[in-house]
Amino acid sequence: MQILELSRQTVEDFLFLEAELIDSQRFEEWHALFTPDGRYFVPLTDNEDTVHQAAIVNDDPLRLEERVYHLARVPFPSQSPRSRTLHLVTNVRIRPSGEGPGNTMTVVSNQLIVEMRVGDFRQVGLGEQRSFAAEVEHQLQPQGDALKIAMKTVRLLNRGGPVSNLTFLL
Amino acid sequence: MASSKSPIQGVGSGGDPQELVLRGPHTFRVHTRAYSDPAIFDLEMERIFGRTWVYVGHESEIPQPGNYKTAHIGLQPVIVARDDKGGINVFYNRCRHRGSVVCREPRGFANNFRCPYHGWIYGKDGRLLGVSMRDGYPSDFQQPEGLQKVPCVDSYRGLIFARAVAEGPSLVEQLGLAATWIDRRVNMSPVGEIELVAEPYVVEYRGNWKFMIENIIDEYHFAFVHEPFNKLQERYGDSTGDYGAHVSGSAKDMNQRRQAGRLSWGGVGGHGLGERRVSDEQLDSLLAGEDGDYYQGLLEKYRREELARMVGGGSVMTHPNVGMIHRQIRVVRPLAVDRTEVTIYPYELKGAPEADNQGWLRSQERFYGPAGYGMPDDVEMFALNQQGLAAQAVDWLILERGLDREQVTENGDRFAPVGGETPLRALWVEWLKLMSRAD
Ligand code: FES
Ligand SMILES: [Fe+2]
Repeated sequence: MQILELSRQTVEDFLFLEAELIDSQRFEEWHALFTPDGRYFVPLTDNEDTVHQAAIVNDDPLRLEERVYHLARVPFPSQSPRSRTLHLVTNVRIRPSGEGPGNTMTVVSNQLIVEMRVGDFRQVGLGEQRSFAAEVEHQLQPQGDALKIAMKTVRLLNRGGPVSNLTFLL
Repeated sequence: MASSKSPIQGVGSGGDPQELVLRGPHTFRVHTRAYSDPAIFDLEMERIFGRTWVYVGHESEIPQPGNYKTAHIGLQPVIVARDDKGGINVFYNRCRHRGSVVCREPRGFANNFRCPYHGWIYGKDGRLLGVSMRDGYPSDFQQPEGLQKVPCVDSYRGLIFARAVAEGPSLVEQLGLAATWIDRRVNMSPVGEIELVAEPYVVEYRGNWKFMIENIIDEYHFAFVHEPFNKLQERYGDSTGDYGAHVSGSAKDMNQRRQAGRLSWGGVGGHGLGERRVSDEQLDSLLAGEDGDYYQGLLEKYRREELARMVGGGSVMTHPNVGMIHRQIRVVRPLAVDRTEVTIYPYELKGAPEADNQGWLRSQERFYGPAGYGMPDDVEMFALNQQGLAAQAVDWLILERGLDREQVTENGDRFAPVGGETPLRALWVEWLKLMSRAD
């Protein structure tokens, strides 16, 4: 596969697939979309510095593995009951080649991630729809016939503000 | 249990805080209403946040004249600002004209503060420098001096506190034993200073503010709330960047290490303190390790026993609103009886090895952020707590763990083996003291 020849439709199909895997809670299949050195990054600050700034998520490959293991295999209070999510993916833009490193393509989309925890909806925090708007950047690489994610960055609109429980996948 | 002999019963609907904490030789219980009654919350704002030293910021956030940051004393918005002489003033963030907020940014630099409404101008020290269209006022117009100052401001090791009333103990007196704990953390810097460099995490939860301050020094919830995290530690240990902040290894190992060298203290003044020390072997391996020079440097300044405690890094919750745990300052801000904001400021040790500051930052990122493996589970508990209290037919919460194992020092500070609720009881004793003073 030649990365430079990919149409927006191919790229969109890929983003839709990724969203579907998250929304149907197929976390390990989602993980498999990443390259072996793939990263998942949700910055807290505008400058996206990781030397002196803490991030919301700053996953190198091992931390990403840990996150997926945690979500898929270890029940924990803030995901008991679990979040349901629905991703709306729109405004897909393919950045001119040369902006990303090597054989990668940078794709930016606007996403609205709607989240709700199931369970007894009379209880605080359950049955309540919350929405998170974000600019999402994917660095995509071809691997054989498939596309893989080398880096996913989620720039939340409300980064830095008060936000609780983002323990689901964005 | 002995406490069953105590006269535990419901309290009247009157507003007397004395009725809300039940104390006896084998009894320590807190009434539901102490967490859930809006009238009690209002009284807390007046008698606790309105009267005692409250943390408002750190000196490193406002290093230069003209630097400011906003904060709150209870529900009241304030500005913490550095004046031209380098002094720190705290004033209410409220224009003396008709009350608009003067400062809209969380922190920054300003030559002066200009009210957005009608343009009154205040200096770095809060002094009123200019009244717009001054000629329209009567000739004998009594112009305010400036933004209203909070009467008492002091800092300890860089932590700035303010008190809304003039009378009361000095900050150091108020801190008591907590000062030693703050020292131990700040002294980990070769130059004895910490710096708030990273932007903080801010989280809001729907529960009473006291759930957070109790939790910081509740050493035994870890085995339950954070059991899932322990599973990650078993599998990943330090490989994903815990940086030794938490114990790792087998579940049994972890449980053992959570007991070793640990005590729970309740300090006079309402401070909860967790005492920890690293073992001699751990200390030796640090002294001989990669950052050996750094640790050797500390050993030249502090006794070995003290260094073992410093490195152990016990947590401290100073009454009523600031804690230090791991490498963070945690600020608790009450919003309503059932709503609280928590701000977590990771800090760096000035002069410590870069890798050490980095390691700790990564570690806190993994545990404390809104997508981390610790904090979201804690705040989940606080919301559950608040909801549970809606069952008001049940009167009392029980805080009696370790009561019979407590020892008292000559200063009145108490300690017990780790996991006792001694630190929590200290918070409540201070709460009771402040809440009972009607003047
Ligand atoms: S309210 Fe500030 S100038 Fe009028
Ligand atoms: Fe916790």
